[in-house]
Amino acid sequence: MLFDSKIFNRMFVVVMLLLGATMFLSQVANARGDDDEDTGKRPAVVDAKWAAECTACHVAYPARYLPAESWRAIMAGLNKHFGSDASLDAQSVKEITAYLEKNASTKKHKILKDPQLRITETRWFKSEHREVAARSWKNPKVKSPANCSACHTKAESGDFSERHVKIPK
Amino acid sequence: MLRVIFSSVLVMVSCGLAANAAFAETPAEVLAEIKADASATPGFQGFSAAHGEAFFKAKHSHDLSCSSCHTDNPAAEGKHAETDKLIKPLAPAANAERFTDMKKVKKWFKRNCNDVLDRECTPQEKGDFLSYLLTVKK
Repeated sequence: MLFDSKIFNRMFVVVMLLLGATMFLSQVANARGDDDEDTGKRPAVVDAKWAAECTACHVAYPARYLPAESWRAIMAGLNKHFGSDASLDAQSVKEITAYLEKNASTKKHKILKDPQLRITETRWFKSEHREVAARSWKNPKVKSPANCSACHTKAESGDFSERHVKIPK
Repeated sequence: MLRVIFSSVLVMVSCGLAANAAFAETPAEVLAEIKADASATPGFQGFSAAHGEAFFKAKHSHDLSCSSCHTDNPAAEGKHAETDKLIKPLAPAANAERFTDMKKVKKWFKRNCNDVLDRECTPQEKGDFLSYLLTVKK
């Protein structure tokens, strides 16, 4: 009996250590995943709450693709979020807004009275995608320019680099 | 010495599990909470899984129904109508995580009822809905 429980305990420790090691390695892999050319290789900072809440419905659109005032406007209107009710408790709104502000785009831009809410309407987005053919945008597999992962195969992990782009036929 | 280390690891792990378990609720407990709300309504006569099923499949505002995203089978995977994002099965029989966190349940009822019905759902509707989901087999 004593022998059995010893083996059990040992197995338990081994399993826990393996779990820990896996978690560590996946974090390292995530940190390396960000090699986006467009913003001067800023490391991907990921906030657990932001990731969990935003990816419940869509790709985690990276904070660096919109300026802080856009994110503030988006977070202030979650009950009417692009046609859906995406409301959150006040504490989560506060935490996620703080994360987005901190990691927002710092590129020079005009401060508009009504901040731009759609990444796909920014000048940067249009210029990055100017080579994409009209028929690709109309492909039902793409459906919408907001559907990043239709072509950016690693969008889920925040990697939008060109070598992972595969436009569906 | 080794035994001391093993047993302390075991103690730590079981404390962690106990702490987790303290947060989790069962779908039956969630249903009981909804029932406590519904009981406050005059004339409340309990929940009906049949009504819940009809509610789940009926088209409400904007030509939307629950099944627009969750499919006609709550034990199947669904797809967000707008973004195509995968939605895990809704029925607890097919997805043990469902209806185990009242905070999450409230959040999603509020959002989805507003999207599909243009208003919040009544405790009666929520109870019928969950009663139906609990009858769905994997």
